[in-house]
Amino acid sequence: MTHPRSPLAERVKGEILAKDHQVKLWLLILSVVTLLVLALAAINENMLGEWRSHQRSYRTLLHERAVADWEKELADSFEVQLRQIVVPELGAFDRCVTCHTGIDNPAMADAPHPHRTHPGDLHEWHDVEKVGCTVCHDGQGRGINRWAAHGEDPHWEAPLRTGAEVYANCSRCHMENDLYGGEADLFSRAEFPSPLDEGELRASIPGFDTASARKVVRGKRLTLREGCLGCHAYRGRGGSLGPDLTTIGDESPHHFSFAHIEGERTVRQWMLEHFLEPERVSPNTLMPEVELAEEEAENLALYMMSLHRKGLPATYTPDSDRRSGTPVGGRELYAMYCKACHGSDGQGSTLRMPDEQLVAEVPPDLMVPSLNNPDTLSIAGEDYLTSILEQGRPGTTMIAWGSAAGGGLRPEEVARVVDYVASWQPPHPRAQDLASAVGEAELGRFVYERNCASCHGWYAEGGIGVSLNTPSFHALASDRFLQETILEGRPTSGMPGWRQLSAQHIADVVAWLRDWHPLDNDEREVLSLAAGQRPAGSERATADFGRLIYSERCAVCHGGDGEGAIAPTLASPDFLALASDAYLNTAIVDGRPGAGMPTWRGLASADVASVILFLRSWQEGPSRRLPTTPIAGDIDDGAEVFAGNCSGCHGEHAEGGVGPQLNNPVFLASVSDAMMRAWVLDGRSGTAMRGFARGGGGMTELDPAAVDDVVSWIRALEGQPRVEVSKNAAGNAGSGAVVFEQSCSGCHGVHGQGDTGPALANGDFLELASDGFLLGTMSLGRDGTEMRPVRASAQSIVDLTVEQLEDVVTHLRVWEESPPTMAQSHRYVVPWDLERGEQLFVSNCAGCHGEQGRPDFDEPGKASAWAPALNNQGFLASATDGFLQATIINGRAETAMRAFGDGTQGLVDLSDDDVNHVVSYIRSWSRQPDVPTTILSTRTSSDGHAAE
Amino acid sequence: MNEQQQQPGTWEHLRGTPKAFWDSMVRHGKPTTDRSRSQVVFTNLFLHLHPTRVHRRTLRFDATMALGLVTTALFGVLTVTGVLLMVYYKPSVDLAYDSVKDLQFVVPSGNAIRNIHRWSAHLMVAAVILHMCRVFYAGAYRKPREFNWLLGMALFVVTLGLSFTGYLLPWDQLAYWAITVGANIAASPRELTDALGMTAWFDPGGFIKEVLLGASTVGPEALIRFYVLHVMVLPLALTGILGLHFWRIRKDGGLARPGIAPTHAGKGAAVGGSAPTAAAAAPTKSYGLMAVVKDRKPATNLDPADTVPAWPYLFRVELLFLVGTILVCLLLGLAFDAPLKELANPSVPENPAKAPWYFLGLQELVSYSAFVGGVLIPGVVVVGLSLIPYIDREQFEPGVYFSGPRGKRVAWHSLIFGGVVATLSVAFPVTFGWLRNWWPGIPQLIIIAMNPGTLLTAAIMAWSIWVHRKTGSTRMAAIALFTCFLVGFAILTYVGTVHRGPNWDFYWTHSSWPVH
Repeated sequence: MTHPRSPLAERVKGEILAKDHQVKLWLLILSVVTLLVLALAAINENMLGEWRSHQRSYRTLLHERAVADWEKELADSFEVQLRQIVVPELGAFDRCVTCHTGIDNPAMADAPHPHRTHPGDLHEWHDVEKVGCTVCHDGQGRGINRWAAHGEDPHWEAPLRTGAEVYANCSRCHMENDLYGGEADLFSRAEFPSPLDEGELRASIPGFDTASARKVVRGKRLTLREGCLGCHAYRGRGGSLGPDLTTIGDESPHHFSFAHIEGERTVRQWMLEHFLEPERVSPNTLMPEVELAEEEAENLALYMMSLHRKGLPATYTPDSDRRSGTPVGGRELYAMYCKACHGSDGQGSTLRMPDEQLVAEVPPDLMVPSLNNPDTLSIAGEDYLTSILEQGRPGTTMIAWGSAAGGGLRPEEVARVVDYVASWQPPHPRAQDLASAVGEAELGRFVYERNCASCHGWYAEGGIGVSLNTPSFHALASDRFLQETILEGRPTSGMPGWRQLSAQHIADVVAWLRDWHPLDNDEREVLSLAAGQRPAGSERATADFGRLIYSERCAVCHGGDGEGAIAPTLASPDFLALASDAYLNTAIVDGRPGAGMPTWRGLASADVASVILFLRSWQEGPSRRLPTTPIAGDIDDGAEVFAGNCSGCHGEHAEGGVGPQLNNPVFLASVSDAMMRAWVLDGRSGTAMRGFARGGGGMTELDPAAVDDVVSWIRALEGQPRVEVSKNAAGNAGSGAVVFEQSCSGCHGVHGQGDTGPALANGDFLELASDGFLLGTMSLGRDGTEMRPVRASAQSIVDLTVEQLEDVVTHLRVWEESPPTMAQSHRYVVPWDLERGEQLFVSNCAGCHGEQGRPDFDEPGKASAWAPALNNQGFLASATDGFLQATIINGRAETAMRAFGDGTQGLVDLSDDDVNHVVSYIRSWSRQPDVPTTILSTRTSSDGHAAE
Repeated sequence: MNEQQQQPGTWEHLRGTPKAFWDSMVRHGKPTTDRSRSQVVFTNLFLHLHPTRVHRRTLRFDATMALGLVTTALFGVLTVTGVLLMVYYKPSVDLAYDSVKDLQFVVPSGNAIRNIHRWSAHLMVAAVILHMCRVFYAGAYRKPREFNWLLGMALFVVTLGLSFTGYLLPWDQLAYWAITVGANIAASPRELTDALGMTAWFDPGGFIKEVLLGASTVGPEALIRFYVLHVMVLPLALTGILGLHFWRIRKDGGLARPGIAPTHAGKGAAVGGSAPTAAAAAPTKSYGLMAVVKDRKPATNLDPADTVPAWPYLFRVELLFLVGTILVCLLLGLAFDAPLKELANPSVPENPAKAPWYFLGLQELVSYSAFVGGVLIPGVVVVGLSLIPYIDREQFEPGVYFSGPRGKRVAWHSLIFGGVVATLSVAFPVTFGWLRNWWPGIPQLIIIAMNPGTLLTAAIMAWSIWVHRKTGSTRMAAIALFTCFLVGFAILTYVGTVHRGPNWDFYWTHSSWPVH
């Protein structure tokens, strides 16, 4: 098919050909350029390049330095090629030797970089073929140009480490250098036990840069000392306010914000500036400014850089502190975990206010309470501290530190910290000071009104605390009972310990208390009346009148016919023959404090004389006249004899047992040596005390000299501290429990947790209270309170036998050893009026604690609730009602918590009832009727009636 | 010639072997005549994709701007470099990053190959988009090329898929978080199901994400999935569709150009819309070279005077652009290193975590509403673009850019309108915030319905409808719509790429980002 060639077609063809010519030309140019580019690229990659020129200059260097033939051969055989060290176990693919070819060639020690030999001789220990380079130096082992290999590439996470920083990498393999490592580790040799001298150290670890190693070890010790772990966790232990430190040394520079860094942008510099001025480097940080010298901050930075990921997961080796053998003490643990917030001496601190949006769950103002103020320590008690430490306090920065709650501190470590914190209590006054102090009632009144009246009432009539002005209480409570209770308080009840009072002040207070129950008789008068003198106006002093008093006051314990029951037999002719009027007078008036015999100080002289006359009616025959000279036996022998023959009944330290308490100052003051001697020799009819002169009946026969020795030993007890408490009731706990439930639980609660009556299942109370105290209180009741006598009398509502009383005491003693388990640990205080409580809370407490007792997260703008949250279950479970009462009434020194009690000159004077309303309102937030039994034990006292 | 002379000796046999080999392969000598040139084309599998003769307009740069060719060339470059990379790459989470580092440092030319692969991938996405624009503005989607437009759309999606799947393979932070963002965009239906409170039992977003990643987060499953998609499934799909795409160019009458409106006006063209019945179609067809084609002749109404032989003129131009493309890739690869950040670390999110650049427009929309940005608008765009040739069935001259000066005017106005609206849709929320800032408790459903993305879409649609009212032309409306979409895409992508910093906050420059 042929087409006639039109002119148009010709023109078109011409155009096309012209264009085609251009296309051809461009095609040629582009093809040539492409080939040229390819050729240049090939040359550049295969012949030029950094590392090739380095290796070529190294080869030249080899040639220049070659002297021996073999060296020349070596230089000749040197090939320019990529070199690398591959250590799969360490994840090292290190091509560093591609440029640093002479790293292990000793001849290159003075060669220029990068050919120089590795300085020092550490690499002799760490064969470069076995270890590689990046394990110590970081950087990018795969890189083959400086930019990539030295980690100058911003996207490489581990830039080169040189100098001292290399020592922060030792811990990659030498694990002992982690935070919990023992001190017998590699680095410690640079520092412990005493810094070795340079030569010695170099001998043990050649090539070791002691200065750098020391920096790391010192950083580690700073970490432990400055409480870093309070906010930062390390291997699963520590706080969560700050970032976890376990692998902080692995973090790339990317991880850090360099916006406020003044120096170069390296991790080390960041750390340094951050430690010196945390707030400048990280605005809004919670990190408190720790007083650090620049050098210390450098050490800390280096140490932080040494915290690397380990081969084993952190949780598999958490107990490495056990490896070191010595357990970490409470003081060290405190420094590690608590110091940063609570202060080096427990003085507390205020953490900077964080950005609310960043830390929404933390209240805006972080006042960390002081721990070392007496109020806290006396009210809190070790159980409260333990509980808070283990469970934490949600809603505050206090996390749960117990290992059970995930905090990592084992129970024994918690106990050590609590012991350490508790040791900040003011020291216990010395026993001698207490014993020798002579109280001044008027001064005591002043002390009482300042410290005690808000709970116990201005007239000691009782309120939140028990009444203290009842004669029967004074009759039974010994001075020591009062002193100890004042000093130690009743932890978990509202009664704080008043360690801050001096011995003199305590004596004054006791004197003031005693003032309500003054001595109402006179010994000389009693004795003359008992001797039959009848001055005008003393006609009452007759045996018949004495019988009335006896049946009213004494029969309940000594039996209606003096046959003895709880108390010893009195209708014993030989006892009465021995006992002088003076002895009897002292026994009646001063009692046997702590042992159950009340002090009948309130009886008039004539009444005492009447009782003595009545007692004499049981006497047969004349009184024996005894010499008054002291007996001088051998005390040491006496101790042996006592231990062999007497301690079975009278107790090892003569504190009493089946037999009466001999180590009783009142007893010892009134008894004469001859009396004791006679009793030992002849026994005491009507009691279990048999005469040792005769022996027989399973008893040894003692010769008079041995008896003298024993008497001397007993006499010698006078100067020694008295063992106050006698606990020897040998009843049946099981039947005691039945009796208790029937007769006592109505007021004291089924579990002794207290109800309208005070709690009895309180270890501290039971420890101080002797059996005699308990039996006496039950027998006599406590006038002015609801406590009635439980033996048949005009006031009693039940009539219990002596055996039943002993059963009850035995039952109570069981609680001293193993506290009861209760379904309900907290009883709401009475009277309770939630509505009133809420009113009071809102008007007095909500300003700081928030209306709901916690920060209102729904309205963050509301600047309330900066005081610790009360409305959280952990706190409510830990704090007893007594704790709350005491804190409200007394406030807490050195914190913003003021005293609210009546007469405490605080902000508002709340009455006792009001305090209870508030406590019941706070308590009403508790959703938890029962708490673990371990905490329960001491949580039984609930309404603050210190349980005397 | 005597017999001895006719019988060549052993030497002649040997000497003639290369020529015999050559002859057996190409089967003809150097083509000198038009006929032999045609023969070359249709006896060669690769060349016969082309017609033997093409209209001389085809050779003009402004006819095609060589964009389809460049795209194909880039795909070739990607295939070659990709195969080379496959030799060294280890698709496992533990080894992937290190193998890329090895490529970077020790594999001969490995770094250059990786760079070339990376940059050609970006270039290819860009070229595909530009090619689509060229075809649209030239009106080359008009019947009978509607279906090829659809194939082009499919190729566009597959290309994005290839680029996206390849993004993960280096297993660095950039890859990890870009894919995480991308997967979250895929999971965006969840915003709607969340707002309706039915995610618990109907969660298409979560399902898509899980199918994509093989797990709930980017991990080993995702890596191997993406690898398989990237090196096998998607390239095969692309090659297949590409073949179809080429074949349809031929079968739909070659390059669209003015003056080839169907000779039988009204028959099967835009007016009726429905395809002619078989009976009616029969007389209008003829048996062409190898198939039944529309109209009476293959290469209908070609004036021989306007045609040139494909060999050598067309092929030479094609070769020129092929070499040019290769050269550009080579220079880029040698001059700029492909990014490789630190090893992927699921616990340290990048801030901002950005998807690949071509998804940043979407990510910008997602920042207003995940559902709208992730599903609604891309869905509307893809479906809308696909439907253009079926809705716009108007008669107009194909091959004329903007279909004339009126279209050019509409395009200009749309450019300005779209630019203003898209800029506003970014600037307004940046300056004043959006509903959530004003009423924090507002139901999410309202935000899904009312956000800058939906408003932008609504404005563009309204503009297009207005243009249609005003001009009475669907083609004009389509130009308005497409231009606005293009401008919106460009502006959103630009803002997402340049002006978005940590927490997707607006920053004028990268240097004003808070230092991380």
